[in-house]
Amino acid sequence: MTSAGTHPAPVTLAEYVEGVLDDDSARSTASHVDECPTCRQVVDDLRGVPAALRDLPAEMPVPEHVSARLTAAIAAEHARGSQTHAGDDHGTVAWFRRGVPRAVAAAASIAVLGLAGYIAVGGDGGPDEATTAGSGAESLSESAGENAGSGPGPRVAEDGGSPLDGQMQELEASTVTELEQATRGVWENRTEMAPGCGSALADQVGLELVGSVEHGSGVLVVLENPDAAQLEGRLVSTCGSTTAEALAAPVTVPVP
Amino acid sequence: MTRPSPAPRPSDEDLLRRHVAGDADAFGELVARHQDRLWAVALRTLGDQHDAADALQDAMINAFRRAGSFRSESAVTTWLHRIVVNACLDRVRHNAARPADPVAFDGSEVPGVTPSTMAVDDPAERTSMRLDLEQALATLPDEQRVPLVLVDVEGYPVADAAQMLDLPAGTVKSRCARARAKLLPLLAPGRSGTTGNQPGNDDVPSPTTHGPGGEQR
Ligand SMILES: [Zn+2]
Repeated sequence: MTSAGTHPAPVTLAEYVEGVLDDDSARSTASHVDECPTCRQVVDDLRGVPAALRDLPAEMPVPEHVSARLTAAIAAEHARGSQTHAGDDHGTVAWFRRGVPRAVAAAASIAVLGLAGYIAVGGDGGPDEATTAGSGAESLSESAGENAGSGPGPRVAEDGGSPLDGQMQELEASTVTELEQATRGVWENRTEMAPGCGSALADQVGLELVGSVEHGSGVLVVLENPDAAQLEGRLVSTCGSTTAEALAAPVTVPVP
Repeated sequence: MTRPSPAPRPSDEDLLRRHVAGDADAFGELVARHQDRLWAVALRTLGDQHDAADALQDAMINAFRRAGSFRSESAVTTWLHRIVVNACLDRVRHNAARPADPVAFDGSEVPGVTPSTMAVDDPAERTSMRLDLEQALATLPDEQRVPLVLVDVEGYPVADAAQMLDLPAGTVKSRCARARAKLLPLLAPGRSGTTGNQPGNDDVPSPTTHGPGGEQR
């Protein structure tokens, strides 16, 4: 064991096992492991980690209070839904049409994908107020309190008017690039969130449907305009949405 | 023993269809059926009960609203699972972008995991080891825990995890590797010390640095 002082760190061995070391490091690690029973053992142990994780039980008993929250939130959704036309196949779309909080939630979750500076949007309680009926908003208030000395961020519910416009401008500034990137990704990979997802939108605007992908809390539907050799990426609420449920201005990219 | 007469149990897909058609109980039944599984996903992905509860609730409301867009090409469980994972990822990003949060999703390291001090020879101890493993997962930084849970626990292919996380596959692999190195002392507590206390290794603490009780039986 003359090499005892030079054992590669476990992290290096783990990267070696995973095949992510550069060629030189991989070569030197391999030759060390070949000659070092200690490190060979570590390598074997590392190979056992994924198996141990895979063996974790698939289920864990949900705590009573969480289960109760889910039940309450679902009941609240039903209460909302029955005010519109539940039972109708477009019931879920109709709920989205009430839309501002929902759109703000999407804006918040998307904004934080981009510039951290936009966290004022995401840290203000928007997402939970929009999507939960229970104690979620409390938890966000706590986290908003931790944010900075400037007190809680703007609260969507108190704005009264139309907070969406201002939020959307910020959203656009921060996420246009991401939407463009995601649009190209859908083109390249031909992903579909569900078969036919976005076809209503495609029909409405008269373009060919390329595909769709989940993006933030919404759905990015990608359409092709063959005449202009352009792809359009439109972020909407659901697969069944039309432009009435747009969450951001459409982006266009040239057909790659 | 006689065979229990099985009450006709609606399929997940039936429940979802009924929900879309306006049945007020169907969605709740679907959630009740799968909540333990979905809770495990959320809790392991986020490593925090409070966040997991928020994410699970967001996810279920999302699923409630999007049920009309479900198509039967995938299993309902797969669909729900994915919605929960996405809600968790939203929450991780949300937390990571909070200025007060010291650990950015693509950022800094946190100290390693406290290794287990017990051997894994018998089933009872294996259960303890499993609990230790759950706890250890929870202490990993988000940037490592999330990829590791997606890939090693939930079994998503690296390419899928990379797409979900919007990271290159190589980055996902290397974060998984780092996370595994941190979990190693739990799985091989007697051995990891042999490489765990050398110069330059600050990633995996040696058992000997973590108080009494490290001796093996
Ligand atoms: Zn060695």
